[in-house]
Amino acid sequence: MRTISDLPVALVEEILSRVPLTSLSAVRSTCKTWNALSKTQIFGKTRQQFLGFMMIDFGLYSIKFDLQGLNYESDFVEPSIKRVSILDQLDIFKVFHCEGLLLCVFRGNRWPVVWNPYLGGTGWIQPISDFHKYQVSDKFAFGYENKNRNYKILSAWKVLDVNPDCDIKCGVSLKGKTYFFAKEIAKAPNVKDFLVCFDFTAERFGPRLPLPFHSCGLFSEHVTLSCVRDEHLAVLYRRYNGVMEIYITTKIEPNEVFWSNFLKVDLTTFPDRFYGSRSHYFFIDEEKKVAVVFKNEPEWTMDCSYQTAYIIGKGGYLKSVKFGETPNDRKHNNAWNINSFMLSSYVPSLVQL
Amino acid sequence: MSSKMIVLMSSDGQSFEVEEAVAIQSQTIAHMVEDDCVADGIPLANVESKILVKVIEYCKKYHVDEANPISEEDLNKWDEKFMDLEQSTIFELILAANYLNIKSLFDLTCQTVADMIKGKTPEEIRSTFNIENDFTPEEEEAVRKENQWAFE
Repeated sequence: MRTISDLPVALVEEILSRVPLTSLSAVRSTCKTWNALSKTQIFGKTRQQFLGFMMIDFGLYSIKFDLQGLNYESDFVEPSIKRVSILDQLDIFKVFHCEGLLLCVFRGNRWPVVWNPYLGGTGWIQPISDFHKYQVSDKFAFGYENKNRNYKILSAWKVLDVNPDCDIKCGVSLKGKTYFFAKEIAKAPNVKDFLVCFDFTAERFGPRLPLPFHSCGLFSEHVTLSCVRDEHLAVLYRRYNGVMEIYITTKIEPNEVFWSNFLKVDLTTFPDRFYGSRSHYFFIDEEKKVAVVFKNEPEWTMDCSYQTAYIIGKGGYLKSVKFGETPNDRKHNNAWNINSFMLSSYVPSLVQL
Repeated sequence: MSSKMIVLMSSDGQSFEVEEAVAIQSQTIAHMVEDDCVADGIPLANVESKILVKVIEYCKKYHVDEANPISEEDLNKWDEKFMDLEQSTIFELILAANYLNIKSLFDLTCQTVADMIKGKTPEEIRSTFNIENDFTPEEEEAVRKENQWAFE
């Protein structure tokens, strides 16, 4: 009688590699062999739902957003979030994702931490300058040098003595590099905003890359970047008049980018006034042809707070989804009213720390 | 029109005559045909007859051409019925598909087992596959804590 334990290790690995990432915990708890095998390769390479990490109110959460319920007959969607307990003792101020590693920066004068959720190791990163204190407005980039896969963090552009020569607004990591949305420092009427890539191997910024829209620098405009399957970038551009456009790259390299249209919608037709938010974290699902945009402030009721996301599709499709209900017993130490929300997709990796 | 036939011999001494075009879905057999060493039949020391019958059934179904046209949807339905087997047979098929290097059968059999793991708790997985729990309660708790973040 052949059992699974009779199979050679290589074949058990083949089976386990086809198990979705959502079964990771169960597989690891089955037996010691499976726990060890699960750390030599990545599970579930094809995934059916959005898996990522969120920062809400200085806490880190993993999020699973399944859109499988969206089809012709129904539109039942139930995202779930889980507070990550391993980093619970400290207030997290910023989180960045790069190739399966999370860089977490804490409030107060504490060293940042790099965490590989898939393997469980954490490494403390020393600040480059002992006197460097992390300020509210510090900007970070996180990527790797190609040859050695040494991870570098870039803080407030001081660490590596680089001058971006522009006003960096937001960034996202893709294939080991970080791409930023930036504006020219000298404001002039026809000067366009652009995309720029930081190459950690060459330790410098690449050429200015074109964006598929012409943002004119008004305060009421907003641009956010997102990763698609760790292969492409998506950009969300909310115009001053409430029209939101989403584009996705068809080709993205440090010195070349091509964009195509994904979605365009007039937010003023939406019942909720969420388009007043300062930033729109989002992800897109190419198969379902929808964008999911997150409200970056919680909604409050008498007993609890919850998060809201909007599923936006072509032809005016809109569905709002509430999730992450938390009772109102946590103390909120948000004296500066810092906007403590971010979202990033997650791609597991086997990088040891 | 006669097609070239080759003979496959199972480990328990049974012989099966199969069209060459069907059999070379196995990369292992295809290489042997290229090297021209199939004249006296191909001995498959690692595959017993009960399993070889299923492998041949699979290869015949997947030998799609004008004489045997079939839609992908129909193939998927057929796959489901085909894989309605005892666990032990599935594992034997995995071994055979690996040995004979039939990629699509290997993917199908491995995915079938992966689907049996998906969505189950650790206790259910152990029970399904007769796996012993070799963690101490403390070790099991440590693993659970380490994976507390994981999406479910």
